[in-house]
Amino acid sequence: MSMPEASLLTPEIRALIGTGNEPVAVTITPAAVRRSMRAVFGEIATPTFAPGEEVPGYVLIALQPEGDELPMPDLMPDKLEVSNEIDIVRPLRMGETLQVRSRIGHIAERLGGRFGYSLLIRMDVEFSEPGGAVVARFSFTAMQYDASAALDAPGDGVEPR
Amino acid sequence: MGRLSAGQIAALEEGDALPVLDITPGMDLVIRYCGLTGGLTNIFYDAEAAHAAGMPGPIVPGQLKTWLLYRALDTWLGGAGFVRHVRTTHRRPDLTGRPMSIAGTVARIGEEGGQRLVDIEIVVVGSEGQPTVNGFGTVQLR
Repeated sequence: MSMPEASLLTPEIRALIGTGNEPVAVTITPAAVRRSMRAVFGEIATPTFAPGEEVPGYVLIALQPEGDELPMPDLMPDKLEVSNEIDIVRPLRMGETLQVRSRIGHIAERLGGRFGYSLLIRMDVEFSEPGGAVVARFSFTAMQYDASAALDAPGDGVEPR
Repeated sequence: MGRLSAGQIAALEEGDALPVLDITPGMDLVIRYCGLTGGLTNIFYDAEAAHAAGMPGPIVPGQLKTWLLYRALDTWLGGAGFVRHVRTTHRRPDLTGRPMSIAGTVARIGEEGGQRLVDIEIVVVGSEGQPTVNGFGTVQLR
């Protein structure tokens, strides 16, 4: 698959923008802190935190929903993450329960770069207090592309082999 | 290692370079991260699949690299506050098991709503010596 003859951004695909899942309750536990820190540091002795004590923001890794819970369109053969954003509004505390929800934030076409035609799909994840105040957000933008259409010249985005 | 003292943080000025953090994300870290997030795509562990996707070999997931930038910010300044913001643009792949160097430069020191904030420009340099990630972070000091 190289340059498609028509835009892959059909009305059905555009309609996915803004769709997401229902909020799910997640709780900051010692296990979540331990697993998340080991996902970033490897096998380390993680510190312990008393209830109500501030915990490292890494814990959000263990609390995020799996991406495949969303109806992410699968339109091109290859996928690669191209940008990310993490916002943490206030420190997170051991034992607190948050509501987490994810949605498809944006879908756009892209022309040019090493892989030519590609799609950019952003997933947004939001963590809120039970009262609704947002405490943290992630955005993950992935590129869908066709590796067989790659140019053998450096370009914007992922460089050639 | 790399953590700034309270005195060093108080003396920070725009343009200051922070200690370079060298990290080699191995396959164990990639598997741990992907296992936790449910994102174990084959380009992260299978060389053949990575080649088919246009990569030079199994690569470090972009999300994990973003959290490694968070780790750098937390290492530099985390003891004096908390990391509020991290933003990354992935320019080139980093191969699993190869060293990467995370360098930071103080871009701005300011206040917002009575909070002292430090903005930091970050760049990751991969094992080939080329920048692989452009990043930006904000730490809120206590």
